[in-house]
Amino acid sequence: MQISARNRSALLLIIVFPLLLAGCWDRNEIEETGIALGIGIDFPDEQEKGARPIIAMTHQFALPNQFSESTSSKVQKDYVNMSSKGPIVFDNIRELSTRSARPPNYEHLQVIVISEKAARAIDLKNVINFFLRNTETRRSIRVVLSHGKASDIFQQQKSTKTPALELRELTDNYRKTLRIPPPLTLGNMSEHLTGQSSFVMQSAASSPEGAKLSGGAVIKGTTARMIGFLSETETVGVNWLLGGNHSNGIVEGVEPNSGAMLGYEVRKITSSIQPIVQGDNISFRVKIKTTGKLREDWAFPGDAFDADFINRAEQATAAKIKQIAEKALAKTQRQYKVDVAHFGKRLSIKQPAVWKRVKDGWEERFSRMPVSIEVEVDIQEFGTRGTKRN
Amino acid sequence: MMDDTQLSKELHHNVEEIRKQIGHSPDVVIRSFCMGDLAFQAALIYIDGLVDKLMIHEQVLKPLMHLAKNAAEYDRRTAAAEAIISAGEVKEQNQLAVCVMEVLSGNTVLLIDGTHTAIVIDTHGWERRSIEEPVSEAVVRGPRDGFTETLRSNTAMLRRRIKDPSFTMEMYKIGRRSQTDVAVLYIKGLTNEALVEETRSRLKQIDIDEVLESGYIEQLVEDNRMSPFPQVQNTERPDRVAGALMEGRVAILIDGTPIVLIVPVTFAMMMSSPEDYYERWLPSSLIRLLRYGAAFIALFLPSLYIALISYNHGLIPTKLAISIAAGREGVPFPSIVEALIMEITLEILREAGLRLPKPIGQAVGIVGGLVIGQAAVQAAIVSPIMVIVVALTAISSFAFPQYGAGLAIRILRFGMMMAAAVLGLYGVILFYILITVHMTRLKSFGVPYLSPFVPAHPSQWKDLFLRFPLHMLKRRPAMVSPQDDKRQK
Repeated sequence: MQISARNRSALLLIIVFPLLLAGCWDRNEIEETGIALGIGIDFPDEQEKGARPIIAMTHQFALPNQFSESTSSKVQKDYVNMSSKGPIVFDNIRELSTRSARPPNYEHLQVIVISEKAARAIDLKNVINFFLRNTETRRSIRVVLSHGKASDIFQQQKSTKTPALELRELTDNYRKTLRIPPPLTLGNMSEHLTGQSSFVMQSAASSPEGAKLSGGAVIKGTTARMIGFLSETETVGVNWLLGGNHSNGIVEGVEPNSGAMLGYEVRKITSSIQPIVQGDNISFRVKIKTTGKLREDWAFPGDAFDADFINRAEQATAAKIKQIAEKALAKTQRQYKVDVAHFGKRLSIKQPAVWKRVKDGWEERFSRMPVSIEVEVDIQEFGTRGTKRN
Repeated sequence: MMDDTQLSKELHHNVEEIRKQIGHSPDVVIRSFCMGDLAFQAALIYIDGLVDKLMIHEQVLKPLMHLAKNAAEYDRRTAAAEAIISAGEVKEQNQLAVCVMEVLSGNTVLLIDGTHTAIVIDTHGWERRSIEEPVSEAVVRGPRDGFTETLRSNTAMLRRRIKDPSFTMEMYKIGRRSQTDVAVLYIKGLTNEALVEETRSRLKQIDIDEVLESGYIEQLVEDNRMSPFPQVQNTERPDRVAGALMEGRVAILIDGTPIVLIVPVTFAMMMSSPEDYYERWLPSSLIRLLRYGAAFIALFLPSLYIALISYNHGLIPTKLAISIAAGREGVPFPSIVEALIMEITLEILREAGLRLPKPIGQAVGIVGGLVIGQAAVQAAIVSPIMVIVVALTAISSFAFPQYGAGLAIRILRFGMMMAAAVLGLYGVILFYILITVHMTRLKSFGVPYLSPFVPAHPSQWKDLFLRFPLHMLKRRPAMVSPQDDKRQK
């Protein structure tokens, strides 16, 4: 159909004008929103008897006006915390509207902190449900568990840095140390919880200097609740079992000949879990391979040019790693009765038929299964110093 | 149409007739004299200011008055005169109206009593500007000459560059009253005949009183009058025209303007500069990429700013989002109003600076750019980020080698901003699609505007975003389907 130029422009106007009339409905200027950077979820002590449990939430909002140059040079906090209480998350957020003119915006949410108490008392699937449904929150938001109250994590006396941003950066430090488990995103958490698999997440503790990540927290998949904490050493062990997350961490070994200290820096970890099925007996063999650097040795004369010395150092490190990994297994497998290193998943891949038989009550069964660990260490470098000579 | 009244034998009658047509303006000079010993009455008619008076005196008047002695042996009076006149270009004419036209175009008409024929002597010689460096398309490396207002010297500049015997020039007169000389230039045997024919026919369809500048022709021959994009390239650089001719395009030269038109044109041509071919390929390619980047910024930056600030905050990195929010704290307007204020201010500044003499223009730039910008930020009317956005946009829009293409982007930028204000990033994308659809449909003299992107000819992409080394550019652009497409072996 031919449309004349006149009709065409009339048509265009008809299309464009309604847009202008009805448009701009989503418009929300950036300075008129409350940029939420962190959310803390607590389980208050004073619960009413018999009533539904109440959760408390802490929102950390950015306070942008403190950034601008026109204000005085006095160092001020550039965030503000608001807390609320309610039976569900959404209720808490609506309560904020009664106190803040700016609608909260979750597009920049960095971290969700769930307190130990809340995680032990409430089904975590319900806690994160709102955030998964909300279109503004991303699945890459980090979720951290806190020792003590989550609201304390967002309070910092000494530093002027925004705690939520600080904590988010800390969660990425797992690359630099083995002492914290890999970061947990909201998306991963949801996968684990719906798949009813147990996992280890980062846990934060508040200190006067600001939040600190320490060790890990174990969430039991079947109950979707926290079951306990892991110490830093146990977290290192879990990291060795998990492998693959290219942690850079230090392992201290003891050189067997002289009893001297060794420092081994991890560059790469690969761990493979091998299920061994013999009739009804299921056992696992974990092979951990690692390459890295010899960073430090307190042995004299520690001669890195000597292959024997390197061999001894490798064995010493391997022994140490094995010991740490076993410690972690003892805690998670035997004590907490959870499968955080995904042994069950390996079994389901390798032996699906067997898995079908045992998957009900898997973690209970798993807690009684023998696991052997083999560690292979390969020291590839020893830095710029070979021998120690006087 | 011109009336075809013939000249009469009577000299005074002819003079009367011409007088009647041209009028009694003081610049019309009629010099009556007697042709030497022959005692023929004759008259020279010319317009003062359009002719070279010295030449008339030395080469026409003097020989006619003093040397016309043994001219009796010629059988015709005009032949006698032609033998005597030493001026270079002489022709006979016997139509009255044509004679008048010749006088008006700066020639001298010699009327001799007792003959039907007049002699037209080429005595052009008006004041002309010397050849100067092109103002709007300066290059660092490349020839410094630019076209002038005189058609003849413009064609000469091209002849000097293309010494090909098949370099063809067709002359037209366009403008019922202005009778402007228009030359169509192409290379026979290289340029596609259909293209030349299309150009001719479009020029012939023009029926207008006056053609004061090539813009008149441009607007009357373009394919789509509603499009913001120029569909005819204009340039004042002879090397660019020569290059286009050698690619198989057609150039239209108009007397009285230094701006020459090139057809057909593609978007990629708008983004290239003659310098791209003079510099080595690596810097040329990078600079070309830079220009596309600048085009992107000039078109999108303010609208992206609006979309991100008013709708899609989540796409800004958190720390930047906080500092942008801090900058906008206290700004009373939504981002679209803020952006419009600044963009319109900038356009006003640009327009003001353009019209003013150079030293004042610079002062306007300083007052506008620095003082107003700084004061507006301090008064919290606009945010500091907005000033950065506007400044970057303005600078990017100056990176176009072609002023016309820059104008199109300037117009579209405002449309883009409105789309962003209404629908956010979604609107930006919608408007972008709209522009793309329009450009894909657009044609310039039958050649798709976006070629060789659309229709895609990957073999032609050697001279697009990147300018490949010259030895790899062996073919002329296929989009103009030249008769001879080999450029090098």
